[in-house]
Amino acid sequence: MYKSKLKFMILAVVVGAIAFTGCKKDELPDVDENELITTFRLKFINNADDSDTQTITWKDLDGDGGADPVIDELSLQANAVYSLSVDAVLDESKSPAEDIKEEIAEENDEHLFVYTPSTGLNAVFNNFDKDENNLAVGLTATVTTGAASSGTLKVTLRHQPDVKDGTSAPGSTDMETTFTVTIGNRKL
Amino acid sequence: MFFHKHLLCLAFFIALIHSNLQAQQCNAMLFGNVKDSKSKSVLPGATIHLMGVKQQTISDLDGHYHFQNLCDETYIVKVSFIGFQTKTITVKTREQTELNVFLVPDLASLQEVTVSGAKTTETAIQTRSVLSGIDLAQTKGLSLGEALKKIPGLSSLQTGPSISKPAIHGMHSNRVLIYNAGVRQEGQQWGAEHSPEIDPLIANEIIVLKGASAVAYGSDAIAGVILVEPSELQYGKGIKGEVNLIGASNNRQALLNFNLENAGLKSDNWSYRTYFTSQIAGNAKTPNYYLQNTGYNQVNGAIIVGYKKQKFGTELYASTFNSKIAIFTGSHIGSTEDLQNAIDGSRPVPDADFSYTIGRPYQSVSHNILKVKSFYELNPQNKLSLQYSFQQNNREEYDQVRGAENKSYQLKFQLSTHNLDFHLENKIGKNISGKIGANTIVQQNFYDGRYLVPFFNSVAPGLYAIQKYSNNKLQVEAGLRYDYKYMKARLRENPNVQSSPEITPEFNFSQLSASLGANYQISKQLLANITASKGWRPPSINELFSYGTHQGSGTFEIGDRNLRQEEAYNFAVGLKKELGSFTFDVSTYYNLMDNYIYLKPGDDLILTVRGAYPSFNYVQVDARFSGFDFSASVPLIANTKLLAKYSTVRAYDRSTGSHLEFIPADKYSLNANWEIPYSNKRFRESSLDFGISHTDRQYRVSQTQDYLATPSAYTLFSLDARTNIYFNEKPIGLSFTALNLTNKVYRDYLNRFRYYADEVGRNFILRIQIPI
Repeated sequence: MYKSKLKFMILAVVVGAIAFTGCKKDELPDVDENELITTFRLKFINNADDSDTQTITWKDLDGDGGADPVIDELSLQANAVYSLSVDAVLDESKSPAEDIKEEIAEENDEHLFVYTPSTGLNAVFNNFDKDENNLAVGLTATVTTGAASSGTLKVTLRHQPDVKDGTSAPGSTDMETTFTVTIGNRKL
Repeated sequence: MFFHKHLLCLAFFIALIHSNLQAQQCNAMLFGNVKDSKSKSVLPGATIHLMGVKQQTISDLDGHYHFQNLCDETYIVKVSFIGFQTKTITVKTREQTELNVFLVPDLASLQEVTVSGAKTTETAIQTRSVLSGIDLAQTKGLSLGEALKKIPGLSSLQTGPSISKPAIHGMHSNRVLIYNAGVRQEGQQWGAEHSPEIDPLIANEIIVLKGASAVAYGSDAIAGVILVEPSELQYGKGIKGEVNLIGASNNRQALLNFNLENAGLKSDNWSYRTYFTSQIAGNAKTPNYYLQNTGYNQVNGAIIVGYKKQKFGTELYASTFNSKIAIFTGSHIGSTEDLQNAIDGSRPVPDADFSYTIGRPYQSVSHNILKVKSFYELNPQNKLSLQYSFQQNNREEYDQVRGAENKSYQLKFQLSTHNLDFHLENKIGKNISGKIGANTIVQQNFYDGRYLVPFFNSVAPGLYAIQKYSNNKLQVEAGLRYDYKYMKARLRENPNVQSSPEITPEFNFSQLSASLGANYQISKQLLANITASKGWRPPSINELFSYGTHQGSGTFEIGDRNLRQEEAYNFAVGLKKELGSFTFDVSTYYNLMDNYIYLKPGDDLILTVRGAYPSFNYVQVDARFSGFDFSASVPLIANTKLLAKYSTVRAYDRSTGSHLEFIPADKYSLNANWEIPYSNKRFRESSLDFGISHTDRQYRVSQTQDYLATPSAYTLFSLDARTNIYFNEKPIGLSFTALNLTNKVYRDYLNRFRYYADEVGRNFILRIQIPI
């Protein structure tokens, strides 16, 4: 009597074990770096002179670690007004590359680009585009340069789901890049 | 265990004296011994019940019992003890009445005791602490990590209020083995933010073995072993069970738990028990604000089915643990600047109200175990045991990411483990007993989503032998174990680059473990113990292969594929007095660790799209851990006693002499316990406990290496009140616990979220225990 019950129990264990292990994986999962950004590109157009268009790129194709990112330098003219736009935010680790700028634009009530010039760099960022709550997004802006100077520009993308209040404080950082900037007098 | 029996006996006894004092002037005394009628040996722990007045006591170590302040009248005395026939005697008390009771062994049940003789709770000679009885009851509703903090030398590594991971003498994760109902728990032990996937409500007692417990439990138990033990299956005892209802005020936790045993089985050879726990909790609250997204819910169940005959028995165990745990939103940082802002206070704690809603980030964890355990008694000296278990750990992590609504988990693990153990329990002559066995663990890990650790397969066979010599006063135990581990990982050379070539590095580790221990009974009440042991563990998968940012801690962690195995040499001495009104337990230890693996802050900054992260590398150093655990109980007047505990750990890097990080600070606690002497037909076994615990600031660590100096010392107050309400002689247990009574604002060094938020504030817990 008990033998048959025992057999049943052993069978139950074996069947159970097979059922549990059902999930077999042959391939390594695709690289899926969480919210990776490999390319970030900004475009500056001089309002007084269309030919003065500057594009700078921050690029790190192999993601976090490994080779260091390649970062362009920016040079703007003194005492000028530029229209700034975020030209591209891409995750090229995926194929095809993921357009993150599009995602940010869709969720613009959760995102904020913060532009922080270093002390001594004579550039003022304002006139940001606004989301549905009339809070700044920063996909476009106006840059007004002053006298010739040099320093750095830090661009931070803040992810602020449900907590966006127009300031940079709440939420967490999705991207933080720093460019070297020179503001010079018009070449003759 | 015995310790608690004795306390209980004391409590009953004290309660007795006083209840009668209240009643009338009665000065008679009833006393005597309880003995085995056959062997004439004394029987400690027998229950002596005065039927008419419903009072009872338990015989002490010498088999002695006594009742005081009885009236001069006739009493019916019922004496019972497991394995003996219950005896009922009528006695007329006058002044000093002596009644010696001889119990006749119950042959049927004695055989039963022999058959189920393999008590899982029998452990090797080692420094051990047990959480059972009222101590365990006081922790019901808390997680395993929180419950264990009651034991000196144990702390917990926390990730916010909902994740708590036990640490023994400052060591945790892979260095602490947890046995869940006899099965070596194989979850995601390596992650500090992964708490053990165990429902502590299944436990009848939780035993902690401190120090390397390599031989008996597995070579990697460098810091110790935690045994979560359900009570043994009872055969032929009829329906038994209980329902627990628990509610807590702070996070509005609601918990339902029940267990049911042996219901309606006609055959005494079969038995079963089921467990079920379901609970839900919402946002926890610090004294000043709610912690957004810190709730959790859980559904757990287990079933044990046993079959037993004279010489053969088998047990099937299956359990499931399912939990969804929210992670505090304020801990989600994207860059080191976020972290710095959180620390400086320029990043506000997210506004939150109370809510049961679990949003991102959260973890969804399940753990399923299947076990078959059988034994066969070859002869009275030798018993064969075979245990097979299969367990699967599934963990999904849901991060707060862009476009979260359209995405599933960001990271998933599936770890499957088969474990086969075969051993022979032997007795040689009168004085020597032990076991010899073999054990194999086969493991497989998959992941999906973002890279954290690679795929791997491993096989780890081991052989062990442990033998004990015992005579009246002395026990000496020696053990030897050999383990081998083969592991093959599978990953991309650079795990973050899709086009990077696939590699399959292989690893081989092997080593001997050994232990030598002795217990010496200095006097009837004093027990000394000394142990020396050696254990080792292979580096864990994350130590070998981590590569990436750890956003919760703002670091870039880098593993090292060339790490060697870690070896530990443990020496411990202990002295304890478990009987009498004054009791104590003191132990001290000294651990030398060679190639101790830890995460060391590096010199590099790794530039990522989220800014620069400081690099942390897994490195090996020679370390030294030493410390001291102490507890003592002193009786005071009027049924009160004082219980004092103290524990301290010192951990150094032996080569530089500097302190190791993340080691618990010194902790002191003092409890005053009052066994309320008033009882009547309805309310009995009432007690009140008031506790103070003080945790020092951890200043034995470089204050500049961390983002933030270590938190200040803090003192917490607690209260526990309990009683049993009797209906038809069935007790309904009622208890009330208040934690952090003064609503103290504090932070703890071992909480990884100490940068972001305060610890939880005042919490009231109400528990109702109803027998079935």
